[in-house]
Formats: sequence, C-alpha cells, structure tokens
Amino acid sequence: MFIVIAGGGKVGYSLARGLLAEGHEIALIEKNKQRHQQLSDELGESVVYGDASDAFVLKQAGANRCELLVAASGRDQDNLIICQMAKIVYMVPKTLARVNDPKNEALFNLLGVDQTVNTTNMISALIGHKMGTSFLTELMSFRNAEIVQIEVPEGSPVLGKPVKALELPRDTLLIASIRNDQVQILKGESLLEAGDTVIAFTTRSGEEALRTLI
Amino acid sequence: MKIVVCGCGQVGTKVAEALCQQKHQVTVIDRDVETFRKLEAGTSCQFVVGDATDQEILRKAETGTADAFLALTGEDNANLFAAQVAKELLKVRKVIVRLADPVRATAFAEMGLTTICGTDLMADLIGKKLVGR
Repeated sequence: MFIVIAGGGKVGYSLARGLLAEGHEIALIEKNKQRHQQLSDELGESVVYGDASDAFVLKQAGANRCELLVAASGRDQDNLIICQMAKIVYMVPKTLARVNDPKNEALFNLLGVDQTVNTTNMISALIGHKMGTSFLTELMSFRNAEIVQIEVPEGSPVLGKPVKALELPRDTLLIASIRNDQVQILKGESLLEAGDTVIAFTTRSGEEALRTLI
Repeated sequence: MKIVVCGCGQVGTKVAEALCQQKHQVTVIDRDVETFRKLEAGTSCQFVVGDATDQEILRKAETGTADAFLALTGEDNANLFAAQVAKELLKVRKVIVRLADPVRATAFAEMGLTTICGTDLMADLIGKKLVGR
C-alpha cells in the first residue's frame, strides 16, 4: 500500500520505519529543514520537504495517488487541515489523524477525518494501567465505539455469574478472557474469575456502565 | 452585533478598532497579552488571552452566543481550525476566515466557509495599479 505520512517527528518517523519494514511504499513530509535532512539521510528519497497543508507539497509527496494519509504532527490544527486538504483537493480515500488534545477527537470525526488516534488519552490510559490504578484500559477506538481491556477485580459483582446473566450495557460484547496466558472466547455459560483480563467491545457511554458493572 | 475576533496582529487590531467604533460588542482573542496594548486606549473591546485553536478558549470568549466570528491570525491552519469550531460546533451564523494560501482559500470556500485570501487580493491590486498607471 502507498501511504503518505505528514510530520516527521518521533511518531511520524517510527511509523514510517515500521511501514517500510512491512514492505509498504511511503512518503514522509517534514517541514523543518534540519529535521528533513536527518530523515533523508536515513530514509532517502521517500522524505519530502515542506508544509503538508500546502497542496503543492501534498502532490509532490504523491497524495493524489495514495490510499491512506496519516497526519502525525504534534499540532491538532495542522493535522486537521492536512487531512481536509487531502480529502478536498486530492480525494484521498482514507485519512487518519493523530489527536493531541482529547477535546478535538469529536471535532475531527465531525469534520470528515476518517479515523483518529487520540495519543494523549492512550498514553494516560496506559500509564494508569501500568500503575495498577485503573482496571479498564482503552485499546482501540473508532468513532464512538471502542475495544477495551478490563482486569476483573477481587470482590467484583460479576464473579460466579455466567456471562449471559450479566446486565451488560447496550451495544456491549464481552469477547474473550485471558487467564494465566490462556485465551478463552467468552460464551453465555462462561464464568469470570478475579484476575481475569477481559477484552470487550463497547461504546463511549457503555464504557462508563462497564466500569460500574465490573 | 456581538463579534469575536481571533488574532490581535495588524489586521485583527484594525478590524477590532473599526468594529468598536461602530458600537459593536467585540471580544478579541490572542495568545500574547502584550498585543492588546496595540489597541487604541479607551476602546471597548473585551480581551481573552489564549490559543484560538483551544476549544476552551473559544468558549471562554463566549463564541457560542456571538453573531459573527472572524479568524484573523497570521496562521492559515489556526484560522481554519478555529473557524470550523465556531461554525460547526458552536453554530455561529457568520464566520469569516483570513488566509494567505490561495489554494486553501478556494478549497475551504468550496466546503462552505467564507474565506478571504490576502495573497489573491494583493496580487489583483498590484496588477490593477500596474495597468492603471
């Protein structure tokens, strides 16, 4: 697949390397001259110099023929406009933006960005998870739906009840549980134990209800 | 009218002062508190210090109850971002965006934003002056 990445900071660079290693064709756009030089020394001709919200630069990078554009900069205003320009001017089929300020995620979705990755929320959720203070961690989100990981705590009201007897929030599915590295797909009869890691599909509002339930 | 002006550079200052003189209720947003000193003494503008690309700052300036929103900073993407928050989220009826890049101005005008491109205006004027004299 041919992918254009806007922003050659730590996120854009490591994404570019990963995609190249997987055999994808990429173009990486960087607007800082010095950083552009560093990146070109390592990644060669796939690094393009310029402002990715400029239509001319987008075209130089090949936005008119890419299947996916990723806006990975640290500035939300740039990421939004880059994705919108890619859509309006080059009809890029799919755009994905990094969202730095969590408040902007809904705005990006409203304004036509196909997918968002809310890096700030992800990092804070992961830190909370590693510290052991949070038992529910968001693994992935799409629009207002998400996949979460839940550690079943001691004394949880769900213990000893089959999954089908749990009063799950609407649009929520408990997919699988992991117990001592053994993965089990959850069925109606399955029982949860304290210490199990449960993977669930839910919505933004369902997440709150899940926290209360488990 | 109640009008929110983003950016207190040369353009923003001039527009805000003119609107105040016409007795409009004007709120100016700028990141730098020092820029407000440029406004004429005795002007009736309200000030909000902060980044216009932060939705909280736009709400603090009570953009949701404004009749018009003018994005006049010197940065195209910040203007487009703030203008779209004002138009799509806060439902401001009249939104005007200042842009330097003619391509961005055309692209977003197609999307329904009212854009004014300084570069196009300047080029046009220069051409006219050249022929006129």
